[in-house]
Amino acid sequence: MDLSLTPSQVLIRDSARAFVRRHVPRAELVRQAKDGETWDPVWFAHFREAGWTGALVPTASGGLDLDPLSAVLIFEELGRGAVPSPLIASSVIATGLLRGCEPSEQRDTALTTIADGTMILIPALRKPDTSWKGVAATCTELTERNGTWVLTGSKVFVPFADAATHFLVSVSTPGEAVPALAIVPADTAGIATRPLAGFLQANHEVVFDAVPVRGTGVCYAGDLSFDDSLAVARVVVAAYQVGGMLEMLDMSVNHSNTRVQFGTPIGRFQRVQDHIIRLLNAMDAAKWTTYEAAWAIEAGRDGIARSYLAASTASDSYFEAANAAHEVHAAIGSDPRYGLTLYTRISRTMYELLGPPGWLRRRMADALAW
Amino acid sequence: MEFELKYNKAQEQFRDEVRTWLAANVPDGITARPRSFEESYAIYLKRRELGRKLGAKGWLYPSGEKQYGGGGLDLDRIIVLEEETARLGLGLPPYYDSGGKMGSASIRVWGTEDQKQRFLPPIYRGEVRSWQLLTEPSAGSDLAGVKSTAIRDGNVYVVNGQKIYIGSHHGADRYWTILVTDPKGKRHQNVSWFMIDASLPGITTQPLHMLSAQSEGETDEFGHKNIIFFDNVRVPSDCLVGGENNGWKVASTHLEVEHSGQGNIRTNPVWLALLAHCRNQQRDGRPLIEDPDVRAKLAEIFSRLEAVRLLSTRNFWMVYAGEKRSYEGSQVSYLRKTTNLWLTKAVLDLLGPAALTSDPVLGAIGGVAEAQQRRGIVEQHPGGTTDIQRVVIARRLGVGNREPQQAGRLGEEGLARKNPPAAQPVEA
Repeated sequence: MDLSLTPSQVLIRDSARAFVRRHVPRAELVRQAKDGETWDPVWFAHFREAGWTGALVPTASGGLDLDPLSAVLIFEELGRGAVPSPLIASSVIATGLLRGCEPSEQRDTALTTIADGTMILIPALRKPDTSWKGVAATCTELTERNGTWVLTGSKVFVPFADAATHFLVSVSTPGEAVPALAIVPADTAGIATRPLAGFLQANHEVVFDAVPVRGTGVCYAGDLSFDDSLAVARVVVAAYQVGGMLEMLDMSVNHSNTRVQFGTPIGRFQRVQDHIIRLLNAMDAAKWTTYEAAWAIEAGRDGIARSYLAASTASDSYFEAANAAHEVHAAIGSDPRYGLTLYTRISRTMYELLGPPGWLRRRMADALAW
Repeated sequence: MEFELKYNKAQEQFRDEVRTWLAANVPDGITARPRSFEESYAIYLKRRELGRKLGAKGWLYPSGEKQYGGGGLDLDRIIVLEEETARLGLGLPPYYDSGGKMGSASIRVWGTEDQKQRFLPPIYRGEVRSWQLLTEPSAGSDLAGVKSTAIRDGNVYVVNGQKIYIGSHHGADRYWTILVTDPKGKRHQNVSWFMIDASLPGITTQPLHMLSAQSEGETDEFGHKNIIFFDNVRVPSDCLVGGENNGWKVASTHLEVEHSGQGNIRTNPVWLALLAHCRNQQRDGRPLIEDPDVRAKLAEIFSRLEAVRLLSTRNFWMVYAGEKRSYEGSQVSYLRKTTNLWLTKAVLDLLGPAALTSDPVLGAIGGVAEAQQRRGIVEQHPGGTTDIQRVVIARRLGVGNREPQQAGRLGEEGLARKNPPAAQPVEA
């Protein structure tokens, strides 16, 4: 057993950490959130130059094809910085879904252009008034009109839809109703995107009104189900959540050491210490289930089951950690200028990003053949 | 023991009167969720107007003494008023009036007769809206650590300093605040309370957006609070309430009210909205409430909220029955705060991301769920954090071999005994 990082993994982590420290000041994130800016194209350009847009894309398609733990380390740092970006949606989730699909020209072209940063492919999966039962259960049925497949319907809670060059839409084919994923250019006539206000980050409703879908733009699941093929994506998303918890822990410890009440730093009070320990335990539970899942995927040791465990733990933990951080900070934490609410909002937005924790745990049990 | 509220004929007649009056006087849209400053202001004006009408009938502060403009009502009628206004989604007062509620309670207990006659009638009649000003940048949980000063100069006090996380949108007429009157004095023996005219020269207000805020401070995605600055504000000396440097004793009443010591008999409005939503909203082609997982989660939520409701009802009864109180106020405050934070996750599990958006189409319960997601977090700190509540509970119990601390006086103790309740069954 050796739980340390390799020198190359340390290098990757430090590179991501340096980017966040140099280019993503918290004051700028606070300003962007206040002004309703959802993502920064300049930062995205940096991700492209660093190769992170293709972090999980096979080298044959121009990507880095990083091992899961290396990808985890990059996204942990981005999560620590609360960096808002379509990178997770496109280069992690959409890429994971495409990698699980049967090989095809359109799939490989998409992966290549995701890697080089010219395509931002945003998954549009959830249907309105429908509970989450996996990707295949979210499909919107295509219809056939004059020999062409047509997509009509809406997808909700689509992350960073405003950044999309293309959407990856869960659909089912006319007639046989085979679950599939359609790659649809975002500028196609009949597509309307609407931002959703509230306590969530960069979510949208995307309405497709008689949008033509080419048969060549449709990808089908390979050997694994769509959900199981998202194993790496789940672990990388969990890492982003872990990064957020790490930062909230730092903020809380720092605040407890500098905020003075009753003539002493509040960190001297056991009740405040209790909140910080709650946060710490939530963070470490998520961090180590995430790290182990990344290892398990690479080592071929129940990686899919472990990814479900990591995802459910990280979602529950981020929620709990944010609550604990707010208890440490009291009113100051609820002032958006301070920056804690950036993380709180992400903890809520990502809670069900790849399915609710309860569903993820059921999938874990299935994957372990209990 | 009898938990059921039974109503006599007089109460039912009073209910008919209240219901008829409210139907005629509560304007449409008064409980709508504002989506802009302009909408918020329009609703606020409606609420203030309703407050003045309620005040004219003595229904704005129904337990307040009649000679000061209150209703002077007995417990039977107060209960009916609470129920009927709650039925319409309103409280009493129907606007954010923290300084009015806690200031008037404190003045009833600690004010001079002259102060009662000057300060209480405008509050009770809805002519003024008052905010409490407690927190300062360096004094949150540590209220006794406030730094803003009020230094005597002849027949005025000169006030300097700042208060933070104050009020809501649309301003206030008066500020109920605690200030240092003896900078060299010992902690707890150096502070005093003032009811200050908010229009005095030298007072400035800076808006502050928070994650959430109470009542009319709430609009989409943020809540509106304020920082209030005092720059050599000359406050008449007869605005000091409860005696100079006696503020920590006066605080016992203020904090008892703020810490839920008065209790109430209301059902959590979020619960009622949530239940109705689950009955009416379709998911997977059937009403949400038919989903076994939803039913189980609803039952769990109901169980938690019922405990809070019952203990709050107990507090309400204890005050008006004149029962000796101890830890009960802080206990309810603690449980309400922790339960509402727990509820944010329970509701998210129940409704999914629809609970996170105020979108008019996709937002669950017309945006009520989204507001609860933010409010459940922010509610942790006003009126004493959960940590402070636990400290108070322990002290009231005498934990640590201390003399058990006494609960603060509220001024409404034993109302039911002074006005014997006519809790007889309704005649057939």
